[in-house]
Amino acid sequence: MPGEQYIYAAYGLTWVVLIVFTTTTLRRVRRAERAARAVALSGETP
Amino acid sequence: MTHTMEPRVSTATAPRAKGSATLIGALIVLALVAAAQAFGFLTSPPDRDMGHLQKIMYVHVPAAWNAFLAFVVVLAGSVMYLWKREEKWDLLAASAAEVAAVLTALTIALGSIWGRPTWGVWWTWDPRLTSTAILLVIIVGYLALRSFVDEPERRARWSAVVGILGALNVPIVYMSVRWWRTLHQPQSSPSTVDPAYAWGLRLNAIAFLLVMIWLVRARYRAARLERISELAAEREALGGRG
Repeated sequence: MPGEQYIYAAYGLTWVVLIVFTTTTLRRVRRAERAARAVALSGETP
Repeated sequence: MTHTMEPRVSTATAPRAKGSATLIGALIVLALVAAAQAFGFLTSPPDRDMGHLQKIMYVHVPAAWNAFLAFVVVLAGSVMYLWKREEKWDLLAASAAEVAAVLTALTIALGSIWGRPTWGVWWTWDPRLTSTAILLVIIVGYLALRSFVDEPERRARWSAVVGILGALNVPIVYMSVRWWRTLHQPQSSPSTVDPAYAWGLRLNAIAFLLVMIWLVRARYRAARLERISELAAEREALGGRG
C-alpha cells in the first residue's frame, strides 16, 4: 500500500492520544471520587 | 457577586458506582471508534489521486469537527458563567477546553502527517493551518491562565473571556479555505466527498463525537468532585465546619 507508513503513523498517533487521554481522565475521576468520598464520610459535605 | 457552588455527594458509595459506569462508558466509546475505523478501512476504495492515504480523512476530519464542537461547549459554558455566575458553567467550559486543546493538537498533527505525502511538506503557513495553530495557542493560553490564577471567581471570569475569544476564532478557521487562497482542500463533509467515503466519514465522526462527549462529561464530573474536596479543605483551614 503506497504511503502506508503515513497511515500507520496517523492511526497510531490517534490511538495513543485517545488511550492516554482516556486513561488520565479515568485516573483523575477516580482520584476525585476518593477525595469526595473521604469528605462525605468525615461529614464535611455541605 | 455571588459565586455559587453547591455540589453534593449524597452517599459515600455513590461515587464508586458512577466510577464503574465511567470505565464501561470509556470502553464502549473506544470500541465504537475501532469499529468505525474498521468500517472505513474495509469499505472505502483507494482514492484516484491520494490512493489509500485518503483513509487519514477518517481520523483527521472527525478530530477537527469535534475540536470545533468542544469549542462551542467552551463558548456556551463561558457565556453562561458570565450571565449566571454559577461555577458549574465555568467547570463545564474548562472541561471542554481541555478536550478542545487535545483534539486541536491532534488535528494539526494528523494534518501534518497527511500533508507530507500529499503536499510534500509537513507544515506551511497556509491560512487554514495558521488559523488552526492560533486556535491551539488560544486554548493552551486559556488552560495556562486557569493554572496561574488561584482565586476561583477571578479565574472563572478571566477564562470565560478568553474562552469566548477562542471560540470566536472557530468560524474563521472553518471559513479560511473559502476566504483566502489556500493549499488546504475545501471543507470535507459527507455531502462533498465521494459517496464511497461518506458513510465511513459519518460513522467515524459520530464515534469521535461520543468520545468527545464522554471525555467532557468525565472531566466535568472530576472537576465538580475536586471542588467539593477543595471547599472542604478551605473550611477546615478556616477552622469552621460549614
